[in-house]
Amino acid sequence: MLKFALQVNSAPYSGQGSETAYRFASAVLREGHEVYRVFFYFDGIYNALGCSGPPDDEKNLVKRWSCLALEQNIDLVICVSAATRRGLMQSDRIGGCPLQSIIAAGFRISGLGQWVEAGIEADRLLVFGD
Amino acid sequence: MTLTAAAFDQAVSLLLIDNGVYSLKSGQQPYLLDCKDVRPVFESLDFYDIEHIYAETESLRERGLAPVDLCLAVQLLSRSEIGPLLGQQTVIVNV
Amino acid sequence: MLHLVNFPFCGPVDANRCLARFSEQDRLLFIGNGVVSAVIDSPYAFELQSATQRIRVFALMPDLEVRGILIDALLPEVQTVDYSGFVQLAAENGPVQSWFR
Repeated sequence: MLKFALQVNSAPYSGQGSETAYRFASAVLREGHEVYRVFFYFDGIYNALGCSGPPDDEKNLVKRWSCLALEQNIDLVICVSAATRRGLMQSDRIGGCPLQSIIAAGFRISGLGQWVEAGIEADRLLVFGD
Repeated sequence: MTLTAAAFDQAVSLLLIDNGVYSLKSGQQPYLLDCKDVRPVFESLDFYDIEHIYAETESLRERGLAPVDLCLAVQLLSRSEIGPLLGQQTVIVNV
Repeated sequence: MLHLVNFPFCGPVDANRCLARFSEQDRLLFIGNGVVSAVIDSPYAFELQSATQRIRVFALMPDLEVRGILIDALLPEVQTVDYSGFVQLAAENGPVQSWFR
């Protein structure tokens, strides 16, 4: 059994990167390996935007990641500096909306140290993007 | 990412290929486009003990650049030497 | 090691530039839009075919299917894998390098 770490650089719906990463993560689990962590960087942090609402007849990538985290106990980390740069951390100040309701369930916010640690601890680190 | 990895005592190599080689071109004036000057970051690589900075000879040549046009001393690698360098790493990240 | 390529080559020169950075015995997996590079009628099929003497080339089956590319249309040297095969390639051939555009 190997430990896989994934880095997701692209936003959902902007290309195929997020979808491919999700399918790869699912396959890793199916094959009996471990997903050590998924680190969302650059535009990848948009995968954690809990209030994103695609039309009902389209896939909901954010919800898929959330389910993966909650059902399979996968560590989903969004980069704090990438999120701050893109306004995700300011939400409570702008709209009066608490941060927890902006970030989808199953994601947590942390720094690049988590990415380095994933690279050290995991047997493989794969980068997904567009 | 390079600096963070180095701050965690990881042995880091930095490889510049294709348009990436432009990031080391000297004489840039990023402030003209209100852009952040990344040169101090490159100059701090030495401080972080990142001694392996590579640039691909062909990428430089395709862009009319020579090592003297760069603001940092780099080790030159030919295109066929990239594969072996990558193969030595445990983690590879493209930016 | 395993190389992931998610973009179609834009001509023989571009293909060679990419392929020349791979070492003997490396694995190359085309994913996303990159899978169109595995087609036998592509303008750089010769370059890719030549490279298969040094490296082993794969294409992600679901990404071929979604684009309507049949196995018959691929270079005979290209093997197809599903996501399980993708995981297996990554497991057996570390490190993994993503070449994305």
